[in-house]
Amino acid sequence: MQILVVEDEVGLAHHISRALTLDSHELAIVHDGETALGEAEARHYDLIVLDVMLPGMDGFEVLRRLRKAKMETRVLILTARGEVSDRVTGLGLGADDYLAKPFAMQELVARVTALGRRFPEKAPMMLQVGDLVLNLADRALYRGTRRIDLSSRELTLLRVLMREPGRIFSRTELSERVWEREHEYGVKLVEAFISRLRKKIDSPPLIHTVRHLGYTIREPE
Amino acid sequence: MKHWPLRWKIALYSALLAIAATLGGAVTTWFVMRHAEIAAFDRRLTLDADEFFRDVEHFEGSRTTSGFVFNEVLVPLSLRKHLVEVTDSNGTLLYLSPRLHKPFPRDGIKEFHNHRIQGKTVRVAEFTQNGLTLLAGDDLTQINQIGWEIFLAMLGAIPTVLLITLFGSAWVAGKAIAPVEEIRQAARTITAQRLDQRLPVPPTKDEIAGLIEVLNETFERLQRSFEQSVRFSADASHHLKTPIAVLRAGVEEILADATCSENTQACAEALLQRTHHISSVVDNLLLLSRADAGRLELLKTEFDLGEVLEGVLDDAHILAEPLGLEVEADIQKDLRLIADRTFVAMIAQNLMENAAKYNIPGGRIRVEARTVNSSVEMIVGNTGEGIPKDRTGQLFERFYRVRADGRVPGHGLGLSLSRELARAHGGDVELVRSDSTWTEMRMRLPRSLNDGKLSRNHQ
Repeated sequence: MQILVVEDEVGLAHHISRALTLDSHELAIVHDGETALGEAEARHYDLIVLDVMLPGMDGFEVLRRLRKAKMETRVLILTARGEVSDRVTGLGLGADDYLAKPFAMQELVARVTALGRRFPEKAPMMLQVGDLVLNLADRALYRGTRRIDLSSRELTLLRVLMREPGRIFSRTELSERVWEREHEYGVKLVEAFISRLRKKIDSPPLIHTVRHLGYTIREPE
Repeated sequence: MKHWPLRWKIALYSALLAIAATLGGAVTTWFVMRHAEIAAFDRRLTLDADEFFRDVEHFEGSRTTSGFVFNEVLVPLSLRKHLVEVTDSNGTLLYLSPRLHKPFPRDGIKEFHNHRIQGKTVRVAEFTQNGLTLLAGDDLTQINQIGWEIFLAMLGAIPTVLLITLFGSAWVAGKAIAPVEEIRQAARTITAQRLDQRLPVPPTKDEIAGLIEVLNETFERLQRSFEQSVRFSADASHHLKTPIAVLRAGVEEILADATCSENTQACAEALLQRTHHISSVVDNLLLLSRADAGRLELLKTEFDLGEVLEGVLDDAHILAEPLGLEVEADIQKDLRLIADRTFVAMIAQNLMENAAKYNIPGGRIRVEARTVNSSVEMIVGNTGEGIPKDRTGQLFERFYRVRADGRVPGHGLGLSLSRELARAHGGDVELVRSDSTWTEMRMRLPRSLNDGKLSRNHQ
């Protein structure tokens, strides 16, 4: 994908650039709104990663002008604010997705990949990894034909993992995703729930520990 | 008296003044009346003396006969009721009132003056005509009596005066202070969340209007500096998020770098957790600053508190295991409420975290949730060591931790934030019990957010 990254913080722009390049996207980086508009008009981009807090013209204004100029390029907004109203403003102006700082870089990559699909996927009602099937509608989990009962946290945790099979989630990211806010014992809890899930899912194992990196769920080879 | 309402102080002072005025009036009246009575007495006696001399002159027998024979009849009746002494030019006593036991003492003063005679003060004057000397006077008992009665009458009026002034001035003071009471009521509604409110300025140009104007100016300044500080902490939080994002991205890169040593990766993992912690503190500060400004956004949805508590209890069971804690739960079915689910979950999570954190090994945690009237209550109790009595007041202060000795993780914003979040819903988080064996925190939330109280917080 051809991606334009608009981020005034040079360090962060570089990290984003490295992560997305590694995921085989082609990147251009600009650091302010005016340049971003010019760049978007001059070249074709599949996606714009747009920071809201920019010097001069802010991200919302860039988005407004883009849409006014009938440019339908997909836009992923990055913001330091996490408020509901900001998200509503962004999406109302025609942004396709929204990510609050600080984010897990893997999350950004996943979102970019999702936005890159020609037809955006509808959130599936059924998640499957190997013979493990999670029905989100009635919270029922089956390993083959065996039904497994899950507690509330186990379900949330498993859902996060199963949405992106093969992706490695750090403990920190998992604790961010499962708990409403930082839990004092977040990492400990992640470990405890993962071990409980493993016991319930049983062998052959689907949840794998990647040393220091975290956990991932994938079919056994 | 220091704590009396102003109107009763004013009433009391007015009543005391009125009594003093009445007493002063009584004394003055007594003095003036007595003076007037004495003047009238002098005049009467002088007229009577004139009449006596006229009668003596016109008494025919006295001129023709060789020797003047004084006759008692010559003394007018009006004089006889007083004290009278008549002598001739030789000093021979011709008449003495029966009430007088001996003649008046002579002191050479002719005008009216006072004498002590037979233990009484007697006012007396000397008149001389045609060789006769008349001394006439009387004691002042009667005059004093009149003065005394007037004085007593005025004293008798004091209770009436007291009551009338006391209640009258209380009423007047009440009317005068009424605007002050209005200011008080209006000022009470001006809180951190409503600093833009102003006191209504009355159309009058009196002292009260002046006071209100000054107060309003003060509120204006207060609002400006408050907004400035709120904006500062919000801005500071925003500006911290980008650097944290950079930090996090860097740490994640190290973590993902397979060429790094295991040791480095372990360090990086710990650092990643720290960045998460920092960003959580920043988030909390941002929420607090927004709550302070009354601009906390609530995303209202209807949900079952039981579902939220399910997750929280799930955590509690996990945390309880290594600590040997026992977790009890008594959650009423179908605890539906309309609120911001994320915020409610944050409160519940925080209370539960504290219950686990400050518990004794092998202790107990008890969670109850139920509907109470139009509210939903959640009570989290634990067998903690208890919060010292002198510290319960600081419990909800920011960055305050009951035990800041590093034994317990945390940054001391949790309870303060929980309370603000609950209050933004029109509810509250309170410490309901804390002794050496049991500590209990209660979250109370209105079941429906449609209370008037909320509208100001949710803009």
